[in-house]
Amino acid sequence: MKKALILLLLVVCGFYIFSRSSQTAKAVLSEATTAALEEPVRVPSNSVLESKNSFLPPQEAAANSNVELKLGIFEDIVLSKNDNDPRLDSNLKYLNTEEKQAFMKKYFEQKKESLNERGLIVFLIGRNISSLNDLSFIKNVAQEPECKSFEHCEKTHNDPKDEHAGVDGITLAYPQIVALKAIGNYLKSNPSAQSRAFALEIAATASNSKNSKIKSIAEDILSNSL
Amino acid sequence: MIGLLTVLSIAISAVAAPVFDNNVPAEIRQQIVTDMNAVGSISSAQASGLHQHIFGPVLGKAYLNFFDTRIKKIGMSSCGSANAVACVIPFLGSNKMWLTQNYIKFSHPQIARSMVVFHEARHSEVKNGNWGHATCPTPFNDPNGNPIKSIWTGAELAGQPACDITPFGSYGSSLIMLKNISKFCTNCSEKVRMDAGIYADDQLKRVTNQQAYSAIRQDLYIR
Ligand SMILES: [Zn+2]
Repeated sequence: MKKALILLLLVVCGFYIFSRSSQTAKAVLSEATTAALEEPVRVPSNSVLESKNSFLPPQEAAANSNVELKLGIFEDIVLSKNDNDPRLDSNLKYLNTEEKQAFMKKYFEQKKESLNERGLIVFLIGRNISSLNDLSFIKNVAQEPECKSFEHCEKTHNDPKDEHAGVDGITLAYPQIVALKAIGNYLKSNPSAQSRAFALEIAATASNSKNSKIKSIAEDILSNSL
Repeated sequence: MIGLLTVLSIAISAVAAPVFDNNVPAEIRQQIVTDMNAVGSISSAQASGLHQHIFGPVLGKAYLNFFDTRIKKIGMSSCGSANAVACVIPFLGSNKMWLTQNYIKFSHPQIARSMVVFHEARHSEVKNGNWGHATCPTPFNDPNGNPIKSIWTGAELAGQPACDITPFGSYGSSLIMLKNISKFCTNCSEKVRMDAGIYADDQLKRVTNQQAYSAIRQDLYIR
């Protein structure tokens, strides 16, 4: 009886938290997509939150917020420019809702030219998409205007002698490419999620990008997902 | 003097590490040491056939050995390009790698810097004609039929020396390295593996000879 009461309480709390986060996200969705998102989502049967509307994985639901610590680790990694720092896959492996919000804020605090830093934040959020808010963030990044040069995203930089223009082109679109990779992984690992339509819409929009690298990655995602 | 004695010190390379010129700023030395340490720590139980042929196993020690046997000095240059991060200039000595201020100024993912550094190290091989680039074919289109253009000038790359016709050239070998890291590295961060795949897949377009392209596809892309 006591167990049943606790379970009921958890379900109600979970539903309440999800409802609040999805309200913000839904504001940016098209009507048709929003309607599709209101269908139930399949969650693991052993999930702490058994709400039919939650898609929080157990690891995330159970994690306590540690915003300061995690942002501190992020700053450390940014300073060292060491993308192979093992803390990326331990301390920063799962971000809960509050932590993701803090990292989203951090994203917009980075200069547009901080391409790897911005991409790293997209990667951290995008590898555990668990709410409409996450998907909306990914969508916004994927649709950002392209960065035209390393020193000033708004200015083009004529450089006919650059033999590494291919590498440079990827880096200039790095946050958007990471966003699309997150969408690709989300579609692969959530074949029946009700938010699939929204994710596909993000890829479809990117497949019309003027940037050939973004376009080509989006086309690959679509051809593997449809 | 201190600068002359400072080397890119990584303990596990069997060959002497390159020596920095005095004018290489401390931040740039630190960054390439960090980057080479990251590459030098890679481990894996698998490697593709082409990778085995070029680098040996997918192993930090093998990468450092590859680099240290080719590059003996590291200096500073503009590399003749506003966006370059590194280069080898054969007429100034094939065994010297030049870094630019952009190495730390521009926000590239770490594996992108490594891809450029290993591409340039391949250019140090005098006995192989420094693995000069091949002329890109005309027309030079992506798989969807769109012309491949320079991101900086918008000019088509058809007819430009920006391609490879062998898996073993600078573009080919560095993409083979990265694709192997992406597929097989057992201790790389998820981000490094993802990034390695992104940059490798894009660079595959630069291998334009059908036989060379198919060899890489068979080696790494078709299960
Ligand atoms: Zn080259």
